[in-house]
Amino acid sequence: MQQQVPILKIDDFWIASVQGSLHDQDVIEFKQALLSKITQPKSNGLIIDLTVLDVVDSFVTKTLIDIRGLAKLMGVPVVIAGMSPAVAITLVEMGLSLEGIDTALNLQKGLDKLRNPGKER
Amino acid sequence: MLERRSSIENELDIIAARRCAKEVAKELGFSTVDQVRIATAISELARNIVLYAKEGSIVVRALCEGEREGLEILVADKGPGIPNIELAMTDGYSTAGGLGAGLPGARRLMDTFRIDSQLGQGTTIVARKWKA
Amino acid sequence: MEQEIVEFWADSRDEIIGKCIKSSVNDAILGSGEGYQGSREIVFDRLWSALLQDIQGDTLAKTGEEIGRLAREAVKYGRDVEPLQRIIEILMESAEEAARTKYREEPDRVSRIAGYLEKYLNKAMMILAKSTVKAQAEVIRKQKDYLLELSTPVIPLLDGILVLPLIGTIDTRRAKQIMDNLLSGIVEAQADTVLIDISGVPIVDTQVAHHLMKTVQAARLLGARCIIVGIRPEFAQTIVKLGIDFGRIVTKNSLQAGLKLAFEWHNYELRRVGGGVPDATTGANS
Repeated sequence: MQQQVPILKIDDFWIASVQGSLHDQDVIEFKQALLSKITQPKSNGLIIDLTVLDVVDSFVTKTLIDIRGLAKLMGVPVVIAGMSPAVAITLVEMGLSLEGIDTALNLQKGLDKLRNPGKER
Repeated sequence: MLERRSSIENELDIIAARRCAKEVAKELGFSTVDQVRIATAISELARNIVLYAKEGSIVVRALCEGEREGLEILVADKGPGIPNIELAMTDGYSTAGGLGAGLPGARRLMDTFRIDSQLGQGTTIVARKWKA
Repeated sequence: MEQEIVEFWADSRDEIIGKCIKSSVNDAILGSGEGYQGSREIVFDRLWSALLQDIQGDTLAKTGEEIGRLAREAVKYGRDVEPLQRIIEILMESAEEAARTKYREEPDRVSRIAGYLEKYLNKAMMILAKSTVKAQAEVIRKQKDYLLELSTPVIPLLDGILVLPLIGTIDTRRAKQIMDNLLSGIVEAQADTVLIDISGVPIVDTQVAHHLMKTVQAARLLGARCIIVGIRPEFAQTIVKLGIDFGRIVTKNSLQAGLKLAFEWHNYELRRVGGGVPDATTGANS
């Protein structure tokens, strides 16, 4: 289901923009596709854009945590961008605060974060 | 009274069920955040059916109690049942390699949550959300 | 029997409404049109046709709707609902009178109809009471919402920086409102940094601390960092005593200190240009 989540490259950064609700199988394939991208040379960061995603449940959350963990092993920083307020509130209430995962309000700010690491605290 | 039933047999039904629940919640006038809370709870409950019971059903319906309006989720399956409900409702406990946030998370997203399970018979869950 | 009352009600529209209008209701009772939308005739006519449908179907749905509408209107304009009670009474009294005239020769029939009318009168009164309470509750709820909204302003300070001054007691309901307001404020302003000033919150207990943490976590998921400022010694002690983990949350004792940090994050520099503060008493500052 590659067409569900196009993965593009800008400079040395991978950008995956989730386009709608993903079935579990899509989520698993998405994860595999991302991992194969970031193992390529000149992969200096990954942004996962969730702007249009209206529901993020524990399964998707687990996948995001997994992706971040694996990417970290490969030395590739990950930024989650564009989460909606309703999704953020829901995740926090479920006790899934994605501790340690970098976030950004939108794609642009995500790119800025990847370009200027170290400014983070 | 508004009432929708979704049968859950595979992972494709999970999204259909939560979309349906979101529509009902919207029609009943729940806020955007509540719609997402309800849809997410449905997602967790439906996935549990697929993972453990293989098949089951979810009914979402309007609720009216005096002046209060709300929404009720009825989940039923004839799966193996949950041996230890208290453990299953504990954060971080999962037998399927998940985050263990499904049941406890769904409970936190709803106002009331009741779970009954009989080993070998199946599991039923009744969860309610009232309009703020 | 059922048919009797249906027939009577359907056939006697003009008589009933005619008597209603001539009765002792005056414009003062009906609020001289304002709010009650037009003349008494319309009010009675709507009630009459609602009841016509209800009598046929043996419910009180339409009448209930009509009475509910009148009650809401009365409550909205801050008027007494007693006149509404009078209106319903007059409708029933007029109907009974009309029946008496119409079936002069059949006293049994008249008393059966009167019985019906009494039953409907009682039910209508119940509906009126319920609708009034409901309408008042609705007004109170709306005012509460309005107050809540007023009490949690999200202030854009500089490009990318928001200030959320919290004043007054924070309960669960208000905490939710604060979270909703802040998160939509963050998205709207695309702000990276939020200063949450809690110096105006009289009591900061575990519950409030918990809500604050959830708000900070949700803001972080969007991509915004929070600085909690205005933490008083008592609150600091509470946190330590209760062992609440504020670990990753950035805190400062004053709004000034928080601002300084936010400026640093955003590479702003606060610098005084030129001499001292101009003398305000001389007026012009150019």
